[in-house]
Amino acid sequence: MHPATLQSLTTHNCVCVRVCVCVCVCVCVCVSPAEEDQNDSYSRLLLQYFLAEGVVSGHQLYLASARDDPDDMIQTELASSSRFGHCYDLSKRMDTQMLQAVQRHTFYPPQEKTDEQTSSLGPYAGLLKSIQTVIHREGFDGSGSEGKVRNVLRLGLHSLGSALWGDDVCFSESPASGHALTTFLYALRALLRSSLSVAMVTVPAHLIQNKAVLGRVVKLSDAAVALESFSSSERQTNPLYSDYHGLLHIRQVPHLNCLMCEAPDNKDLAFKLRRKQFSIEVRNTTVYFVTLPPDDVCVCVCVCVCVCVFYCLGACEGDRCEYLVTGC
Amino acid sequence: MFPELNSILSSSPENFTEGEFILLSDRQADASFLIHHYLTFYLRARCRVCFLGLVQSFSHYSVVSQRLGVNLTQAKEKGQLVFLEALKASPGVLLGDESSDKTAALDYLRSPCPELRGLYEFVWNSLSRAGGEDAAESWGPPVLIIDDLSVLLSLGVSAGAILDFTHYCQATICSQLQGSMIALVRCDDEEYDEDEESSNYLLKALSHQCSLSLRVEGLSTGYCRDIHGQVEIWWRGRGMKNQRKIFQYKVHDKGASFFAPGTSRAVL
Repeated sequence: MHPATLQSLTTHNCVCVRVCVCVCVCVCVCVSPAEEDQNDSYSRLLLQYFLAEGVVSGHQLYLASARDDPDDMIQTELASSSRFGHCYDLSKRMDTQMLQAVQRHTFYPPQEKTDEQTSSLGPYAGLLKSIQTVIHREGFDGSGSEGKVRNVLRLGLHSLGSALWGDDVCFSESPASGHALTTFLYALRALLRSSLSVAMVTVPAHLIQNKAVLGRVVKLSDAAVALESFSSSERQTNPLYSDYHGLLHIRQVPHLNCLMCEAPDNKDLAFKLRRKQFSIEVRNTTVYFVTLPPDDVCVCVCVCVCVCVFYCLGACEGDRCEYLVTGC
Repeated sequence: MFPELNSILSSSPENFTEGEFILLSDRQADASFLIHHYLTFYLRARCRVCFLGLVQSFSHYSVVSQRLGVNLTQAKEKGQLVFLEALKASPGVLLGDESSDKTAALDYLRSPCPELRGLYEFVWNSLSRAGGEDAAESWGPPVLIIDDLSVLLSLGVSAGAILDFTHYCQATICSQLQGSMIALVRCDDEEYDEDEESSNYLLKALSHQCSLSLRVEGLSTGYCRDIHGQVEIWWRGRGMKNQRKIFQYKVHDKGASFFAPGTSRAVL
């Protein structure tokens, strides 16, 4: 398989990681829910970054969405530039040739035949079955011919838990299919653990009535990030937050195959959507820009395929660092 | 295993208390590093270990244990370690695949009213044959490690069923076989998780059953890179033996260090 390497830069406040994918150690998996902001716009953008990185790296894509046609979502992929490796320009669309070169799988519930929901997976049984089938058919679980060039499958699952999936966890405190979402995430985690794949899941946290469910969703993931947008809160007028569009909370840092992962100095992050990029910054602090030689990068992260929802490339401009989210 | 934790608990692979039910829990932190401690500790102590891997795969524990100096694959081959790969087997069972694991141990994924009788019988079969009729080596007391119990709540198992399961395991392993049992329960903030099917409820009930409790929490002052959290150790004995102590900790690549609050190297 081709190695996907990202330059690693470690700053005073944010750890960016080098991820080297090698065949022999590549069994890792990531399920990372990005809590959706009030209007879903930012989390959808992060999902697109994630998928764009897959296109540029030549990975296979799997996209499931109940609201928008997944084919349309992939069409609006971000154009890449080569400034720092993989950076994306939000104002442009990706070259269609590049998109067509990538093998894609989609799942759109209105177009799928629904079987009777007999298991504890509830409305997600079809989705899990579809993912399992793709993983097995394309040989991501090690099945298939020995000579086949191995690749990585990137799964983007949009807005799980929303009513459009047939789930009532977003409009009932005691939902009938109360454990469908968590059971699905558990099974997804299991599938990813036995295959060369990584998944990014977005969840509309602001709609889920029972907050305990959200806690369980976070614990079932390897990495979890929450986006708190200011657009509908009183923080919008607070001068402290005038430079940003929202806050980014790191709820969970993965530590797969290791006791502990490299911990960031500062988890106080905010984001801003600019015309051409989505940037994540350490809030109101001066950042020192330090590069580490490759050997010092945390071993545990090197072993994993794509552990974090985002890894960031840092670029210093004066005394402020901008982090360009490149997905993983 | 972590030498500093051994000295705090006054135990070592050569000399440890038998018949213990150790409860690990966390809130706003991750106590799974303690699972690795106990797994390597009891394997070093030459105990027969049954490990219920409900949230991670075998390879994860194997890689970490390697760094801590214990070879899990070898332990499994020798018959010292019985590992239930419950996580990896779950999609097949949930989707009703024909090729899936048919054992009763995973019944909690199958039946309309999930229960853990099959899982208990798996544990009993793994640990009741102490030494084994055909084993060339005789092992020490049996040990059950569960990582983790709270995920069963996410799968629809009731708190009552989980408590029945732990009660049966404790009666069999700790009282009858004089072995030990270690279980991890992961909790959220109490304001979000108060009802009878919550992990907080489970934790409260299990705290009464256990003989030693290690509660891991994040720092009340917020995130700190050099101090990952604090551990409250509660020896639940009678009279003078009932005591609590708090330590702060930091997890490294190959272990963890524990220190009295305020004495972290980053602070001093």
